[in-house]
Amino acid sequence: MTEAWELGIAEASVLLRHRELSAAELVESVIGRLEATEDSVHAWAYVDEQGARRGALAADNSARRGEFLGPLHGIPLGVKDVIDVQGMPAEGGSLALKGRVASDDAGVVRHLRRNGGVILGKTVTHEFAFGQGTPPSKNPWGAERYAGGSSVGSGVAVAVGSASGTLGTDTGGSVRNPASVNGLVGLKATAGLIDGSGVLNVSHTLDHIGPITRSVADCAAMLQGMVGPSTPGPQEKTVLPEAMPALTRVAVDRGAWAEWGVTRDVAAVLERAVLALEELGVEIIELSLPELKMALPASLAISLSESVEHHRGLLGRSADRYLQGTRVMIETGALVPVKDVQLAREVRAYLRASLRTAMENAGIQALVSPTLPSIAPIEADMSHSLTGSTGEGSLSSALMMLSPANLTGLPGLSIPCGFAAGQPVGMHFLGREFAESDLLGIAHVYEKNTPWHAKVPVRDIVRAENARSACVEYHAGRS
Amino acid sequence: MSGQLTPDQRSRLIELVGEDILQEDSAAVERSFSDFQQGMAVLRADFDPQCLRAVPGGDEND
Repeated sequence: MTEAWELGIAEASVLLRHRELSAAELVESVIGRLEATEDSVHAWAYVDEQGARRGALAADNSARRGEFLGPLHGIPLGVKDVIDVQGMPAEGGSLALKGRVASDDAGVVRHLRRNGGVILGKTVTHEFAFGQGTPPSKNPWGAERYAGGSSVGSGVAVAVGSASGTLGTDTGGSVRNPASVNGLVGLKATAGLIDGSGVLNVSHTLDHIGPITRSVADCAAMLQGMVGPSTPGPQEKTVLPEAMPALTRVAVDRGAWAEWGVTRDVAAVLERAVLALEELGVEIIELSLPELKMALPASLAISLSESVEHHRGLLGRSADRYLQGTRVMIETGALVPVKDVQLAREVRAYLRASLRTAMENAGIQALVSPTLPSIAPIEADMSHSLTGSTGEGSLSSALMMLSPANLTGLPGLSIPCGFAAGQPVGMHFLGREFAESDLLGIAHVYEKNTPWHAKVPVRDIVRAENARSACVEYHAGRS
Repeated sequence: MSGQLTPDQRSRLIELVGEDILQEDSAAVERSFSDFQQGMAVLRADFDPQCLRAVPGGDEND
């Protein structure tokens, strides 16, 4: 028998509207799952069980009056701890902000609540979303493996069922990366679509907020619940198709896969996924876009240099309470010459225009690739430097593939498309501006015709022997 | 790209994090910035500003 915590947002929403399930039952089931898993996976920085129960009660009272606030009515959600939730700790994963409590909701959290969402708590983040250090969250597919980042807790919570959906932030892939390694759906929407206020920024130009969910339908529901009334771009609700729309065409750049160091096992999984798309009616073309390799250095120039002003004040007071790895990234940003930032902005403008033209000329809705070049590496073997070598298993190699979406502001969607060596593999769609509905439509039809989304939530989690000590060590700044 | 911080760079970083912290971080910052500069050198070699004039552009996200 399916327990309520195992339901996706879309499934639960139908049951809630038909009064076959109450928000109180759903929230209680998710809280139970959280309590059963948290000692093993450490996805949460802060949990407000009583607040969530009050939110569920209010949702049920509204439902009894026939009032449903929106697509997320009564759904328990987690929020990455760089995004403010009123009254909850807002520490950004850092000792430097220990004790900070948000005085107001971030803009996107206001929209979630307006659409009926119940905020369960704050999920673990790499410090200030820089991806440095080793937070305590554990990959449920293998505790010794990288669990994704920087929205690590957001990915793990959805993967194990301790949240129905979560918010993350994505400056260089930090929603899509944890989605991919956890076997989930992660969306970085078009720049400007989501209200970015009330967030601890890395880079105001490249930061995006995005949902992590267990299915494409859940992602569409989250996206609808995250946008505000004055959102730019198309406003209509995404209607997910049952069959692949006519004239769906996507491109692949296999030459880039080789340059990006995509491993043979991941490439093999992607080839099977691309074949599946073709069998579903998608036309696949080969399109070479060598200019995309400029995205990583350009995005680093912009993001690292912008991070300095976001952290100058706090570093002046509490530099010793930052992880050294985070400090080094910001210090690197302080050295980036103005001319390099100018060049990076020119590259950004060029790539935005050239991608728009290339996609229009080719008649494609998306460029398809692996989300990450390899399966989740062993955490202890991994290089976390953002600027360092893009060798296998490095954080830089992940950034290389995902940064074009951040730099250009185009939407990027990652969905699960198979397994290699027992680890999830993600397929990435880079789409046209404000055309999230195209990406979600293609992904939804693919998902309905493949088994991958049913592999989550992960029900049997391998306990990590050193989970507790890892948590203490991280916050002592020893990572 | 020798990797070592110049006096101006050191001064900027001391203003940001203080001298004690910089002493702790300087080797790592030098490596990180050196890696960054290598990436930018490749970018400068790859990117021709003439290309900007060859494609249309200009909208709210530019």
